[in-house]
Amino acid sequence: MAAGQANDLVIESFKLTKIYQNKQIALNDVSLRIEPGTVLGLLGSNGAGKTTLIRMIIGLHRPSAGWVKVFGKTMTPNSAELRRRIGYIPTNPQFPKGMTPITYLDYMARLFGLPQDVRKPRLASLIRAVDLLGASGNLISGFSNGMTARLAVAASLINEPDLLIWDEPTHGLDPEARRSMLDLIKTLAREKTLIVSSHNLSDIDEVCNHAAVLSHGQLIYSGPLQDLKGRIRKNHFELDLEADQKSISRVAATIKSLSEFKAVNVKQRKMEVFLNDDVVASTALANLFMTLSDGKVNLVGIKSIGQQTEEAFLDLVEQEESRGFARIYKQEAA
Amino acid sequence: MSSTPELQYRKWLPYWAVFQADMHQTIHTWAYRAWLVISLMVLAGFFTYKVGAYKEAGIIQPGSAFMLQTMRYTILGCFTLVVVLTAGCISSERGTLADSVLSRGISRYQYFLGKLHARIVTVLGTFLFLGIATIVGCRFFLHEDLSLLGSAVALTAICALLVTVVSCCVTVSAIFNSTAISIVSVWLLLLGVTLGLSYFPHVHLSPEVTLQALPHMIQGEYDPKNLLRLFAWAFGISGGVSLVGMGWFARRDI
Repeated sequence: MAAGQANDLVIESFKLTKIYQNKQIALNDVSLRIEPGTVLGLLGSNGAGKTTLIRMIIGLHRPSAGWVKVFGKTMTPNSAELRRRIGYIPTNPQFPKGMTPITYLDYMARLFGLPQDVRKPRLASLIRAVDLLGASGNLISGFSNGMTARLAVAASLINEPDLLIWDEPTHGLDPEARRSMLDLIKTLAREKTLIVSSHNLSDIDEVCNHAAVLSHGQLIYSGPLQDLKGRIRKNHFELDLEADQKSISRVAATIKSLSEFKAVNVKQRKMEVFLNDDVVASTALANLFMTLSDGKVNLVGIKSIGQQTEEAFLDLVEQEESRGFARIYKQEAA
Repeated sequence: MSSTPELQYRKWLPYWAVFQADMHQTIHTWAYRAWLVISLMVLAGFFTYKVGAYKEAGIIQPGSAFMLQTMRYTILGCFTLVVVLTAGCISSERGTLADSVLSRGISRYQYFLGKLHARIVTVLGTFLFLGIATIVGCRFFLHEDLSLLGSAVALTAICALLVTVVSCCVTVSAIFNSTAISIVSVWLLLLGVTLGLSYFPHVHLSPEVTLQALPHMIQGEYDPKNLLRLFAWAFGISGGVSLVGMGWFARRDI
């Protein structure tokens, strides 16, 4: 991820490989560099190695080969001082039985070695911030998914970490809770480094500025999210128009006759256009705008269609699969 | 303008946190409650029977005999529940529950020690509570033929054996992923060691030899040298086994 000084990197891994009991290759030769301020979206299908990578970054798993450094120091299962600077939320976080949010957060804070005069005010602020004040004395076992997710967020922030690692933070949340979570990530991204693993690519699209794509344990892309999106062809646009239906139909017919366009569909005042593969999008769209103007059709809005990150991700995975035995060599672009 | 003072972390606070949380959790488990309730019921029933025979029928009921019988029950019967109680202390917390603890600012060594010490304190604390209650009952309600010092020594000897068993259980639970496998492994280990030691009658760590010596200990007849040897063996084995467990746990994937 961009060339930064090795000392400034939040995370650096080199040829990180994990083979479980000589039976399963979970991670293969992953070299990754994450700079401060990065909001990294960790993408990959089920079993791609996302959680394994995260667990190795935190020191819950030991590499079979290679190494991972966090804040410039090699992470091991005993690197308690490094983990003091990390806030982690696992997928489907579980909580010890018989605890309330107050006792749980106090326990978490004590696990970081925070003295009482620091941890008590901090946990009180966090309980208020995640809107659990009314349930702060209730047993966690009775909490809904949304409440446990908020408690997990509070636990991950109790040590005021520099690096946050959230494994599928929006998993199982209702739309409202998901929205709050995404807004929180955006707020935290202003001052912290974040790694967010998610299956929901629209979430990644919304909050992340960098992406790392894992496929069958191998890192097939690592870099800015925009670059990932730029790898796919943007040849499908939707236009919102303002004019009478007759004018719109006439303009659609004209556009269809232009050589840059493969297909044009009109549904009332919406027009979908598909560009030919070999054309430059900006040139084709300039011609389209001219045609609209000539036909006295007003353009209200235009957008590129589809979840771009999703398309880019699927495209990337497909490309990687199609390389066959050539996958033994790393691609230049990745 | 004065700068914000640097945060001073308490180095051993994570250990205490795990220690306290584990003790709290242990005393809420069914195995612990079963151990406590069964022990109290057995002791109360047996004690009432003995007191009845002594006070109502006038049949002499030596306190030393009662102590011996209850201690035998402790060694043979309660060890089963102690193994169930302690052999899953780490293996039962695998997965995201362990993640939520070990992903914080705690080392594996502190986590292991916190668990080990919590289980030892819980088991010994409960055993001593039951043992002292029994001694007090014998002292006041049964025929006084037991030595207080001897009884204390006998309790301590059993505590040494319990520490060894708990250490083995916690170590095994740090090695295996499954609680069931941990419990079976500890039982096989204990049975194998007990069987092996029975061929060496002078090894005082053997539960059999300790059981044979208990009647004399309770009446105040014991050899301090043999006792010291027992403690040395027990704590030596406990320490060695715990070091192996801690080292293993510090290197394994969670």
